[in-house]
Amino acid sequence: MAASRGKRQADATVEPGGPPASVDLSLANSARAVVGGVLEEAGFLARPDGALFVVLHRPVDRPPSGSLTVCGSLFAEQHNDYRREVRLARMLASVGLAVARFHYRGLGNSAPASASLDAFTRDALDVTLAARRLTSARPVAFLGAGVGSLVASQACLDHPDAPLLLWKPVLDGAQYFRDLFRARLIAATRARAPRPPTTAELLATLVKQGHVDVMGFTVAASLHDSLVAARLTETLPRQPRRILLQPFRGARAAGVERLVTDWRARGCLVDVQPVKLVEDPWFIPDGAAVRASVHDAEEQLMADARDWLLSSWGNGG
Amino acid sequence: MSTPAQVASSDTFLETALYLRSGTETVFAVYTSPVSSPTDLGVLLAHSGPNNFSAHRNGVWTSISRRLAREGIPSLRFDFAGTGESSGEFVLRLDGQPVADATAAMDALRATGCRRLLVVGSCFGGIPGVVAGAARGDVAGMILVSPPLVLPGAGGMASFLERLREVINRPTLRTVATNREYRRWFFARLASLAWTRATVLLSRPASRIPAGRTAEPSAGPRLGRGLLIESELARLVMTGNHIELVFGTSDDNLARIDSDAETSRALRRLRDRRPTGLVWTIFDGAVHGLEDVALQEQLIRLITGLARDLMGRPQPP
Repeated sequence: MAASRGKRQADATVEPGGPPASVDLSLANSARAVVGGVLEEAGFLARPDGALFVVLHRPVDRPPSGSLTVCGSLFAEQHNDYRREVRLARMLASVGLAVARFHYRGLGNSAPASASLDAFTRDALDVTLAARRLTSARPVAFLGAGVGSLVASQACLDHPDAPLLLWKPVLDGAQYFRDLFRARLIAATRARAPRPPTTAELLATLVKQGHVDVMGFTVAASLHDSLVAARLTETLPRQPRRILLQPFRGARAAGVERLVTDWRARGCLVDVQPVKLVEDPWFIPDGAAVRASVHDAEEQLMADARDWLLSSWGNGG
Repeated sequence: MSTPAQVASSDTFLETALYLRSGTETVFAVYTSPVSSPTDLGVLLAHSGPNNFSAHRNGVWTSISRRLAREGIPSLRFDFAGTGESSGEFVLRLDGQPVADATAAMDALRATGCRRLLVVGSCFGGIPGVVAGAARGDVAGMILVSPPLVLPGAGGMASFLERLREVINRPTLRTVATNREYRRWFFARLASLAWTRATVLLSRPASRIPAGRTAEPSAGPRLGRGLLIESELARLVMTGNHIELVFGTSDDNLARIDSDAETSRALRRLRDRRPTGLVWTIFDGAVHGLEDVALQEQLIRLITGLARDLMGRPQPP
């Protein structure tokens, strides 16, 4: 049935506050396969907070020289980004790096749990620790996509030397939700559906019920409230760090210049590489030519990320 | 102590990652089984295709899998080649890779001990399941969630007029006229689309398609007008399987059936076939894309209800 099945999780005592050093951090109920010359292992990372679905990509023929943890975007945006992240992971593994991808708690294939920015950051840190133990890879880096940029930048606080890559970063959690709620109107118009509740009505429901439906995604109040208070300019400490910003075409790109100025003033080494992709491409009726253009732009995005990361670690892998 | 069952999130089910061989591709799947001895019925969950992954929108497939396991029913959710964690490039076809993927997933579920299958497919994801299921004798039922039984343009791809209508239609124009925010967004998107097309036309001759990719998603063998996969559906209905079509009143895929006389006639014939006939369920609103949490819940109840019902039915000789 399976191309290859991994071992089951050994019994282990798990202490509150995260996996202790003594725990076997292997992935439970996992499977392994070689995909395009890259070794991939998918399984579940056991934790007191609930299991996380994790996929670890690594080179098949050598120990990885570094490890990247991918903090993905959320909701509909995640569906657009999913394959980009998989393709990036395979590209990086093919040049000698390990990449850890995961579903945040309560989402996708991970265990149900209460969601918040801090909880997602804990997830990213647990996955990073597991990836380092499983691959023995040093050093580490983080990639944040969309609102995952806020998660990645918070996770970086525990890794002062980790380079940070950001795809179409969300600079302001409050603005992110304003745009997301506005997208409901656009989606409803496209579907010729009745006009959805106003943002004010939606926020009232969020307070009353603890969650709301945004285009078929359940947005929990705990996640909303924690992200609304988050701003990318405030998450990183004043210390030198290498950062690559890859803004897409759209509203978020407008704030990048100010962010770069701010971070450079804090001593960060910031590179900016604008990407010829749109933040919200789901409206555009596509054709082969547009798809080809998107594919080429995605290849460029990933190649730029790869080259920048390898140069950050100064070794070409 | 942590055991595999607890690792996989619950003491009532166990989740295991799998990689399946599907022709030359590697297809990813998650198998969810009850902790107690499972029934002989297994449920296969196929997502909608591109821009989707095993958990489906808002984790709907994950929720269904875990609820089924609590009732003793195992299930398997998978990624078509070129989607989610699987290898390859996704191709929209009525034969070939997607059918091989569905077959591999069905075989994997059978290998766990299931003797009968309930196949659930969302949008395009249901079509390969029907084609694969008609060629085997172990399918007890199917639920097709807003399947594209008539393709746009009826020749395989949307005509230029249909694509134009997606952008320029009465509700869109009304909102453009009355809503400033939408108007700004709409024209920004149009400008972006025009820019992309212009860039493509200038930089790439129309005939040049990057290696390794098809020019347009192909619908496989040349298709005429009328109902897709009619003979496969007829075979499944005639052998006494429960085949249920689920649409929303505002689904484009339902409107296309209504506007195609030949398809409507063919479906009426199937509905009246003995012994069971084709079952129709129409929800109010849009089922396609699962963009409504309340409808997702109704769908979950429908699927788990049918699985329970089939579980209680004696297996045909």
